[in-house]
Amino acid sequence: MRFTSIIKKNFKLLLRSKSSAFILLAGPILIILIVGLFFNGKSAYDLSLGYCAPVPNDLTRSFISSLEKNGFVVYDFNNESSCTDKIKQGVIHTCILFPQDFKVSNDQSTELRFIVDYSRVNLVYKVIDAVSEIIEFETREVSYSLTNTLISRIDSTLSGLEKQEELEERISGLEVDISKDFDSLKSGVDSIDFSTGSVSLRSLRSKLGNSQDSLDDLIVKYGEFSEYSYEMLDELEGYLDSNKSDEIRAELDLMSQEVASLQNASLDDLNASLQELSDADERLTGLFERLQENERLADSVKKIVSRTEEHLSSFRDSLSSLSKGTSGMRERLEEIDITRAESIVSPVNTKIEPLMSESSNFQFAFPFLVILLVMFASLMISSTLIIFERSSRAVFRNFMTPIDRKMFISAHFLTVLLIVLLQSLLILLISYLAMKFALFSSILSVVAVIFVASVFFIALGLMIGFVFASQEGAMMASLVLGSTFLFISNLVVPLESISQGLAGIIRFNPFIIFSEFLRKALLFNLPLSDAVLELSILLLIALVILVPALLGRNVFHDAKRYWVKRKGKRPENKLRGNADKDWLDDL
Amino acid sequence: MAGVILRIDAVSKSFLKRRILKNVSLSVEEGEILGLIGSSGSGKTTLLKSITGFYRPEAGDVRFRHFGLLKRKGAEKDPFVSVFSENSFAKTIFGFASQTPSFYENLTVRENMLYFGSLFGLKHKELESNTDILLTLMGLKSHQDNLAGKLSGGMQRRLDIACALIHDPAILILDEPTSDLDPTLRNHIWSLVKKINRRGTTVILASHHLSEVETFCSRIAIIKDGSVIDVDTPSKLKAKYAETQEISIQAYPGNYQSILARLKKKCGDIDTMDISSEGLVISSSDTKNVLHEVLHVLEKLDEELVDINVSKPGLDELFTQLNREDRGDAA
Repeated sequence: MRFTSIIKKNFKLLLRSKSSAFILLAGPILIILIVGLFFNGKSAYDLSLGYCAPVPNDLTRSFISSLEKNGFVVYDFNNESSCTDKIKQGVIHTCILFPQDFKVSNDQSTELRFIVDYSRVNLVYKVIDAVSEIIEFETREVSYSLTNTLISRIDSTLSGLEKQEELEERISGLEVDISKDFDSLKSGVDSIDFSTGSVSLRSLRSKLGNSQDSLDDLIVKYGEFSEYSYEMLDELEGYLDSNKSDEIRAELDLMSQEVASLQNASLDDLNASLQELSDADERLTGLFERLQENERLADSVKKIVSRTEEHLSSFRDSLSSLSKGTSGMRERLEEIDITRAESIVSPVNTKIEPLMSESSNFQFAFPFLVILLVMFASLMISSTLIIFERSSRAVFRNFMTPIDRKMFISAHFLTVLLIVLLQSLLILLISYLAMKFALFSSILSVVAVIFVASVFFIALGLMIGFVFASQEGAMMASLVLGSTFLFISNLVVPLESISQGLAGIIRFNPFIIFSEFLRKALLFNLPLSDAVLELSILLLIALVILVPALLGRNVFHDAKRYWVKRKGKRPENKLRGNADKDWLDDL
Repeated sequence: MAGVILRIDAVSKSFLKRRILKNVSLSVEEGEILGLIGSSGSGKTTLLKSITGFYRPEAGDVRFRHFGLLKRKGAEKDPFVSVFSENSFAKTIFGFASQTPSFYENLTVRENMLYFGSLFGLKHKELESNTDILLTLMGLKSHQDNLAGKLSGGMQRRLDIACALIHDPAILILDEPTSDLDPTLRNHIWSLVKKINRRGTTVILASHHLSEVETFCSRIAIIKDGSVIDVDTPSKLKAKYAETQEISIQAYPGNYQSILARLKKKCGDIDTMDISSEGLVISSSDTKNVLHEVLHVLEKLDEELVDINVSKPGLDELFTQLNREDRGDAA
């Protein structure tokens, strides 16, 4: 009854105070709506650019139109200084300076200059990234066109080389034929026998001469024989009948006559043969001479053939080298596997694969926003409630009731916890209905994270309420603490961009821890078992913070008492409002 | 009187080495209205808050009669228990309405009463009944659904007293209950106090309106520099301290400085002389001689006597006199 009365009273008071009612009801919805509007949509930035192109050309215009197509607001400036002035004034985020002669050529590398404002640390790299992405895309287009030209030239060169190789093959074939012909010619020439061999007219002549001599000898012998026969006959005449002797004589005479005629005929024939032989010899001599001449000519031909063969061999070698060179060139060209201009310009295409289906930025930022809301609501409402109670006119009346301080603190704690949990529930419901978050698959983890975060930040808020005496001081402290947690978190600056040592410490930022858990729970259905240890530690820390408050006095109060005892005077505390309300600390 | 209900035994309390209460001892009778008077800073509020246990004194004790209501071993042997050792129980005995009304401005009159009543552990029926009775008694019934912060000063004061009475305390402590109120409201509050007292509630109050204290209180304790210098009924106190008479003079054109200077030269029996908004106030034990001299001086200075009044001092004057003595002593 007493406990619920305090909680009921707290709710009534919070709802009836305009400012706190606003924080309670409109605050979370408003924050979510505003932040939702900020983060909604897939494009995170609405950037304005300025450019200065002294001599606009098609290339310049293509860049500018590409930027405009990608949602950038583009302003044209006549000169660099007016463009940079607009950056200083915050009208534009970056200035692109095109060179005088903006074209792609071998003579010079075309350089685009970006002027950015590094003082806008939260935006500058995003601007650079966003603009560079478009410019790189456009540059890739140009590069693609150039590469395409290069590739088509290589293709035509390849086809030219193929024709060349065909020609070389034909020449090589011709060369082989010529070589064969030369070989035939050579073997033909080599096979010509210019030697006279056994054909020798001299022996024939000498044989004919010998025949003539034999004939002469025969004729002589026959004459001798005939003479002898005659002598014999003469001698035999006495012995032979005269008739017989006459007959023999006649026979001898006739034979002598026939031998004489045969001798004559043989001599004539022999002489004719000798004459013919002599003619033949002459002709043969002429023939020999011509043969010798031909042999010399054949030798010359052989030498020419040999030289030609050498030339042909050299030609063959050259042709072979040419062919090798051509085929090597073709092979090397053919070895280029990547012949698509897109592949050369962008050899590696990056494709961002989201862990989950792509959605608006709000969905990704939502876990951070929920914890942000829990953090600020817990810190501010709990500290405000404590200050509200302490500065309330009813503080003395509350003291005069037989209610233990622990019950008051517990009731305040529970009031804020209920409010924060209701707010979170409201936001989760909105998110479930509007954004179709898969809440129920990880509801235990989500509830656990929000509960522990609420307890933790409420404990901190209560401590702020105890330390500070004025509402302004408590609000300021809550905001400073909340903002510090927020500033050193992933939401503003990525932890990865902070130095390792500092990031190691910052990782213990409760806002980061809770946000990360909620993010994992909401987006990746983190099971509760994975977060039990960390959440238990944080819950323990929260309870440790709560202990001084629940035990009746807070450490600051005791420290102050100690100080007063030691020094005999109140320690200076500019944050405390009413110096005389010493007794307020007892509540 | 039904006997002592509260005993304050040699209570001393300091704040930052400044002694606010010096060995204060006092007894409060059941059913009486005890008024505490004293100058600002004399320690009235500190004493009242020490009585409730809000301040823990360095020395002394505040003990109250528990009427056998305290369910503690050995309590029956001693009818009085210390406020500080039985603080929680003591809070059910006391009702306290401080100088500044103490309630939630954003709760309605009824909600405030129900809330504070619930903190005393009253059952719902009793709580509703007490609330209705007190709302009627305080004349707040028609305003019960109004936000407390929107009430007029008088009604806020009444609501504060109603909140202090919601658990029907045996002792009601009122700290300056009528300060900053107009005379009508003051009378209303006093009549309420009387009504409450008539219901049997012992009332301890501190006030600057000494004439009212004189009228309504059964006894008065005079506190000076953290000490109770006297406690008695108003008539006895007046008899004890009122030895002088007060002469109030109004003249035209009213050059009181010159009159004062002349009188200072001529009269040796004047105790005090002050120029107030109403004229010249002279306090003297030899009234006859002083009056003669006053008339003489007025004639000499061509001042026309507009009004003259001779009176015995009330509690106000007595209080002023005590303070003057104090300042004189100091000088």
